[in-house]
Amino acid sequence: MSDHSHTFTPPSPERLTHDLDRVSKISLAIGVIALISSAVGGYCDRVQALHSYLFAFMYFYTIMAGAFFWTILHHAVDANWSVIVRRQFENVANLMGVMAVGFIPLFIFREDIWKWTQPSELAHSVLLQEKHGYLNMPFFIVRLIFYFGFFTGAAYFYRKLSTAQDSDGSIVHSWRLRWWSPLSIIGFGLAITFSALDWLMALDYHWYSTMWGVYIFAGSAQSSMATCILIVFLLRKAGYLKPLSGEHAHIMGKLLFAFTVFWAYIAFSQYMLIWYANIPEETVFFIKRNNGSWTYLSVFLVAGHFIFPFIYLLTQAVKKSWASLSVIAVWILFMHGVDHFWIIAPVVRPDGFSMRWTDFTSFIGLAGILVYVFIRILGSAGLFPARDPRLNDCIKLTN
Amino acid sequence: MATNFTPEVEAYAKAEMTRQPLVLHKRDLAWVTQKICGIVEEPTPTWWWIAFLITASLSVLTVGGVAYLISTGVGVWGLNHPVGWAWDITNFVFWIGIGHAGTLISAILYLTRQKWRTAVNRASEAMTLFAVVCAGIFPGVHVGRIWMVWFLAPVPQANAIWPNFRSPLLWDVFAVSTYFTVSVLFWYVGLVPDLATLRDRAKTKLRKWIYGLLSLGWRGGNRQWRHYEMAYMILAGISTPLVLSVHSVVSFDFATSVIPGWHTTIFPPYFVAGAIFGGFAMVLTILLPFRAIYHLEDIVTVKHVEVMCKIILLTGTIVGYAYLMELFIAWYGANPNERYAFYNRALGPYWWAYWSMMFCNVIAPQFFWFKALRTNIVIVWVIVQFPNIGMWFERFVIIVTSIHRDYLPSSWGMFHPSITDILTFVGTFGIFLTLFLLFVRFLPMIAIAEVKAVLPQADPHHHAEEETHVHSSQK
Repeated sequence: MSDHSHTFTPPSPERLTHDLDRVSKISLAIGVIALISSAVGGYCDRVQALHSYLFAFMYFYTIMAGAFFWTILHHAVDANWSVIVRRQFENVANLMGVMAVGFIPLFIFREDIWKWTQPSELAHSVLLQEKHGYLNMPFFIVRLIFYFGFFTGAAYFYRKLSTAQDSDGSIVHSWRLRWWSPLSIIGFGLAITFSALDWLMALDYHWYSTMWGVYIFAGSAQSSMATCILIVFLLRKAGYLKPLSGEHAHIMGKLLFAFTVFWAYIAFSQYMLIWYANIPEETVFFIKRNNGSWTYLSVFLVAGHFIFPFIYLLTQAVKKSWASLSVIAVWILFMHGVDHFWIIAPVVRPDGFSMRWTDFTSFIGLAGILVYVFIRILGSAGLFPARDPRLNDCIKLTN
Repeated sequence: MATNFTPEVEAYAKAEMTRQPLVLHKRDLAWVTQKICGIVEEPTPTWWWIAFLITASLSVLTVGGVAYLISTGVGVWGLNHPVGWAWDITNFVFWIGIGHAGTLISAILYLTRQKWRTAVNRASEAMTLFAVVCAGIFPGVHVGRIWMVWFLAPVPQANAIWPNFRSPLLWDVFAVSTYFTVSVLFWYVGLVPDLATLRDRAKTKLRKWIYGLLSLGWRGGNRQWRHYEMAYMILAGISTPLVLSVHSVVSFDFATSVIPGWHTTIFPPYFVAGAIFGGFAMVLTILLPFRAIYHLEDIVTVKHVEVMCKIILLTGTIVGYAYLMELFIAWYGANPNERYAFYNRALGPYWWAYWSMMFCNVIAPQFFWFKALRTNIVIVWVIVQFPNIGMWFERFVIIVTSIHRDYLPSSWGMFHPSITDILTFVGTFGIFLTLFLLFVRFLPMIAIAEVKAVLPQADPHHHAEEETHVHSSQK
């Protein structure tokens, strides 16, 4: 149980000592090949391939945004427990730069994805003309700059100060990071909401839901927690981050559980209210996804995204073990994919559930490149903020 | 790459980052017991009698208003066509919302191990219960024929009339009664060790008997504490979804409809955030005066007040997000009815209510960005009056502005509260405060056992340190 000695030696800084160069290069190669195949797929069926790519893009984008959320939340509430895992959230959030580049194909081929961007659509749709004040190209570009500018800039800032503390040990960094965090939460809230509206809700510009931003946020926070659990599990497997205990796993498990329930709460509220009121311009979203074999995916989403992880995570023992926790983390990451597939694919595959090979190649492509960059980021600084003033409290943690 | 800061900056940051103790002036366990039990044990102060007389007289207004309503009919209220729902339901939602801070503090902050909650949880939970009592009056009496109110419960009866399970109003009955039951249990379980403390200190036989009865034979043994901790944890787990569900269900009363301004999917979390916002404002409104009267500054420290202000800022900003999202989607959805509903809210005949709401709920809490304001108790008390007012207006705006413009202009109308409306509502503050005054007089208003648990003395390390020190000096 807890250590009763008073002399507490802080853990010495850890750097990645394994040579992952080969792994990262293989991953990059796979990624590039997969993306090239996606491009080939796009040559055959541009619309389908682009939606496959959007699916992969949104999958990773939301995870990165979520990782940024956990970073700023840590500072805003001045938490103890998360100090030692914070670097991993910072690392994941710093992949946002890749996503900014990854948006280029979506931007170039926007007219195949977002119908409202077609000039002809604007000409004949009265509804779109009504929405033109928001759905117009110049403003869309301004928003794009804001989303990526904010996320890449802020994620860089949080990691930069955090790693600066590794070298000089100054408490001023912690204070500055905390000072900025409430403001960052506002930026985060705006960026995640409106990017969700722009890229997903506007896939069908007729449809709207005030809950949409919250829905995307809920899945984003949940899946990024799962990602971080998995990264920590793998690092521990490789012999790092040993001061972390089952207590830390327990907290991450509890937060994963909390956001599993929160996601369900938001998803249910949105569905139930639209179902109950039964207004055609709103029900269109769910009708599309309760049509033909999509119905099975919808039911699977409820069961897999909520019911199964809910039951799995209820007991304490499961949450206290990194191994059992990472099993559900993998599952949640899979279901996060199902969620985004369920949002995006029915738009272009109205007849029923089907998968294209570009769904896989886009996903593997982005994943390969992100793993490559992630390994670089991982190796470029310590694996945890070794001179954070709250590190000792973090390690001595008991629930 | 190392940045060099001046020693002043380093010192400032260090001071800023140092955690404040939860109980100031190194108070010990005995002091905590004495301080809190003293409030209950001292002879009833004169101010208490004066306050009690005022609040008890105020509550007569509600009793009278309800008696008048039942004996005469719903016509004594200002309801009309098309505004068939106004103050009754506004007051109901207002009071239900007030309760949420208590449950958030007692349950969610417990699960997230926020130790500062111990100083404020007991009083906030009490407020939860009293607020739900005030809230319960309104749906109870607004059914018109109150002797039929039991029809809301799904009990088998001769007429074979079952409640409509598809109606959110029925879900409300279940949600609120579950909430009340669990909140009472949670509050009472937490009270047991403290009631035993009062029992053990009681000077008169009657007191000893009553507190003894209420403390359920608590002896403070290891096994009892283990059971207690487990029960408390489970109740916290059950209460947590209730924090979200109750106000979500309340929001369904409106959001399941197709009335412009009522039907919007963000309602559930937005109502929950608003409820916590309004609830914290009420907690500070009531707690700060008692903190001053009973000199509880060492337990309910400025840091506690500051943290609560931050929660108000956060939830107020979430509410602001929801307001703006509603406005944005009303415009974006491009449904003329929906657009009109929001245009009418902001610029129609109820513009004053809308902008009062906006100012009180979104602008006013922004003052809490500044530490100087958060740490000034008087300013805090003044600022939290805005959410109190604003959250009432929010419900009024949602309810009345959405229905006072019917689809046909011939059915447009305005709502004017009758004197009975106003006095019945004012009276509920009397009920709320009377119950709170009684609570303060007879029960420990701060969780004694829990505050002791967050003292440094409660930490095994602390004792070891001191004992070693003592032993070595003795040698």
